[in-house]
Amino acid sequence: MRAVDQLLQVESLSVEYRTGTLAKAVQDVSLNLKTGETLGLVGESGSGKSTLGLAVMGLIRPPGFVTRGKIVFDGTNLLTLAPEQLRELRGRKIAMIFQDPMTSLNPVKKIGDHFVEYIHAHDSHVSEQVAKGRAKTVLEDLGIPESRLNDYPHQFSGGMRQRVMIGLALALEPSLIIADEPTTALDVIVEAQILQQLANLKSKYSLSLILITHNMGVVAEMADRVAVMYAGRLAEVAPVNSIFGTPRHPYTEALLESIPNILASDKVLKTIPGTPPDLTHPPSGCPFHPRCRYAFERCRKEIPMPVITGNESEAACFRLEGEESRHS
Amino acid sequence: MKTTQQTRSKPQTLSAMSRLLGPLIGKGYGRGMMLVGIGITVIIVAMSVLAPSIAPRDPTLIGLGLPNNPPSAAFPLGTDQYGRDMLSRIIWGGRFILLVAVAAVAICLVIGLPIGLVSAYKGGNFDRFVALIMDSIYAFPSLVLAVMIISVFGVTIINEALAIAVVYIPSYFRVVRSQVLSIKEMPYVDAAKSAGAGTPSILWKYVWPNVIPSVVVVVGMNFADSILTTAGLDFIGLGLPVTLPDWGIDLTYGRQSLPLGVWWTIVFAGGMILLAALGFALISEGYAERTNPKLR
Amino acid sequence: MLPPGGRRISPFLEVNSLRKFFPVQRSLIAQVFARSPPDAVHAVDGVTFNVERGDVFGLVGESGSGKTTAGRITAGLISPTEGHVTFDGVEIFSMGKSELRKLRKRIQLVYQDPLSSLNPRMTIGDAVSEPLRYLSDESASKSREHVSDLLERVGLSPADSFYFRYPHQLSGGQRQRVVIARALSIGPEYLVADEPVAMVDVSVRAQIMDLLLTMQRELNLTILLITHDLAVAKYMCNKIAVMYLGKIMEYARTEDLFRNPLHPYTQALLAAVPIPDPTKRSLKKIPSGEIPSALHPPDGCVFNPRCPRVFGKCSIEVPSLLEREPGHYVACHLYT
Repeated sequence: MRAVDQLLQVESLSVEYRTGTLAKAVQDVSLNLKTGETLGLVGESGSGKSTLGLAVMGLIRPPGFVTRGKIVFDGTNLLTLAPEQLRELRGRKIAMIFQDPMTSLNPVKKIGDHFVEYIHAHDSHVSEQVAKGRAKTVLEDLGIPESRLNDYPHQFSGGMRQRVMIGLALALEPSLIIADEPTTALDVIVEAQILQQLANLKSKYSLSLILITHNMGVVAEMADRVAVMYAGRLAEVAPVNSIFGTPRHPYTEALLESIPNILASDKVLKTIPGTPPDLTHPPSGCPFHPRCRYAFERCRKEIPMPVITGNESEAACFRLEGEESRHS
Repeated sequence: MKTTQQTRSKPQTLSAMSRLLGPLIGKGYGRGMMLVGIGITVIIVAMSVLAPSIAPRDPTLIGLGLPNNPPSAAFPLGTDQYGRDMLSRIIWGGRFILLVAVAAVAICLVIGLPIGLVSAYKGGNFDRFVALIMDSIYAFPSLVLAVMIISVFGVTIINEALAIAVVYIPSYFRVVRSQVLSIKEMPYVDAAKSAGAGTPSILWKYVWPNVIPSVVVVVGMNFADSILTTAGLDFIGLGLPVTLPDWGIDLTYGRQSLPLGVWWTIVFAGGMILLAALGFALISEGYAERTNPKLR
Repeated sequence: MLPPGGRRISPFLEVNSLRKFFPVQRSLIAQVFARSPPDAVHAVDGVTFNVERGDVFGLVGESGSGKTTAGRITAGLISPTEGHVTFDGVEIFSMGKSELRKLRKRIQLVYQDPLSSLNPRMTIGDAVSEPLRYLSDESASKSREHVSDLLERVGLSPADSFYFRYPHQLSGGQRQRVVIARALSIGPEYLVADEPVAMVDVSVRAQIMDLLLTMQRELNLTILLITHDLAVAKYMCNKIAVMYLGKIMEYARTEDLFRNPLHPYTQALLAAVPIPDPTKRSLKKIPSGEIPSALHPPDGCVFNPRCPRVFGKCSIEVPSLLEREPGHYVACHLYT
């Protein structure tokens, strides 16, 4: 589906890691992101969600290799850009927030200087004053007073550091932010604070957001659309209400049935047998088939292609093959 | 005369060298390094052990050939200033050095390991105090200490080994201690306590097996350092009696003969010293690379 | 008034006015010349509760709440600075060595990180046999049988193929099963489970939670579940104590706590938990600020700096944990 307001189009992307053994981290994934949309990218360990985020940022380095596909951002295929062009883009147009802020911040640099350095890397003629002014504005939106620009990272708590990271990501006013498990390491109340702030900032700065997480609750709170990944492949994509209300892929269905919910009284959790696969020795055919309650012979042999199941919805499962004709 | 700094930094230079060589050996170069190191070491050890059988001539006999003769058919490695066969001297020359190295490592293991294990595991002020002592010894220049001990107590294998061991024990202590400090916080040690294991069992089954990889690395370095120090002591005349074959001694006399254009003594004797040390260093580095890729 | 969780009959586990302070380490010189005692982290600061046999009792809190420290004290692993823990009528910390040994047979732990809870150099079979080796008189062959049985029981089948494997050859979920098997091998009555599913893949969590509940039923275990995840606590526990900065804020039976949370902190926690249901999105009132340092906790009620309903008394007097409704206790001046 190509519309005028598509900010990001990932087409048939494949990424491998070659470290003696071969791990296909992302296989044949196609995704879209509209301007102003929040896409929740969900999956467990080995799903490929983080790798996908890194690929969009152009941060895949050996032993990781992008082997196929296109990443079209604002009309340009990022995979064809030279390293300097990509560097220009990073920060200015697309910014990334990682899970652990401690390792992303230089412990011997004041926070204010982090901003100055970051802004200078893209715009060397910006004065230090202006850069710090920008930092102040952005951090104010995050609830961090200007006085803290003179502090060092270790003087901040975990939640504050993550806010600093978000501030840095916003410093150059990008149009897309990729957040990889931004609140996973934080306590639940701070998480709620930051998610709220992120939602507010998104509208204030007209951002599009890819939120990578394994937490279905966070996704339900924040996302407009959800993409579920499993073992490097796209299992299902749909608007958030559809994914939770009528999940079409057996993995999504099983996952939702297995997670506890404090508002659902006396929910009986249905367990999913087995474990996520080892990417160096993936199962044949559909990667979920060993754990799928609906699996049949074909699932063991062939890999299902995504089938359109509704408005902006698709799922990769052989059970749904009759649907395509109904929706096309 | 080699200074202490040179002796101490030699293993580091060797490390740097072996790290440079590493990539040349190919992917997974830890394995390659180890194999090369093992190869060198095995050959040198075998050579030293089998010396009586394989040396073509008696290495102490003077006047077998013309003095200061370059390598020739009769004397493949030439002769020294006393007309002794260099080949035989080289073959025999490592014995003392290797014996001292083995003794030094043994002493270090027997003393340094348990102290490191127990002190770190106990923790608290006791451990901090012991660490303080160890750090002080560590700061002491090894060659100077060796010279002191030898001058006072005379030259024997044990004395030289002791001199080297004393200065190296803190290295074992440090490495073991840092490993133990992180291991003892591990949940699996806690679980062992809950399972009713006493401290000896915990140290033996839970702590020690996980400390071994780092100890192997230090042992390799210890050997390398010890070889260089012993050779150094021999070089400055505090080693073996001058008549016995020894790479370090040959290095001294080689130096004296150098102005005469006699290059072979220094090259072969010095080369063997370096090679022996390198062999152990390669094993140590290669092993470290294999077991702890993250550290690199 | 009875402490939370208690009945007239002697409870299985009694925790009384527990305090644990961790002194901040000073240099050797400072220790020698210091004039005042060192600063201390108030990890646990006055915790009292009872656990009955067969309970799955949840200690819920964020980081710095003291739940992990409190849990480990009840397992006898750390000794408290003040207070008592009484297990089946006997005070744990006044026991002699041989009695403590016997205690080890009755209390075991399940840890958070399946990878670091297993000795990487020990086979699965050996790891699970360890408690039997030290705490029982079983012969080696009997142990072997016992362990194989256990491995099957926790879902590691066929046991023989798992017996000789090493932890790194198993998945996270499988390792956690091994940890559970090891804890159960000696037949304990009381299990302290510290975040047992936090580091397990989401699709595998339900398996592990169900395994624990099944074992609890079959072996009549009493479990102390330490977690930050309210949803997990709701699923697994019948009683929950909410902790903040070393103190219990609220305690109730699970249904009561979720139906009618009394303490503003509990209410904040419940409001903050992300719900996996997009139709339940709402504008939440989240308290501002973060958990203060446990080195210098606030005066009065420890939650007062962030409490949306704070008033004068709160920063002066520490509220006691009082029974507000039958079986429902809360430490808050709003209710005194």
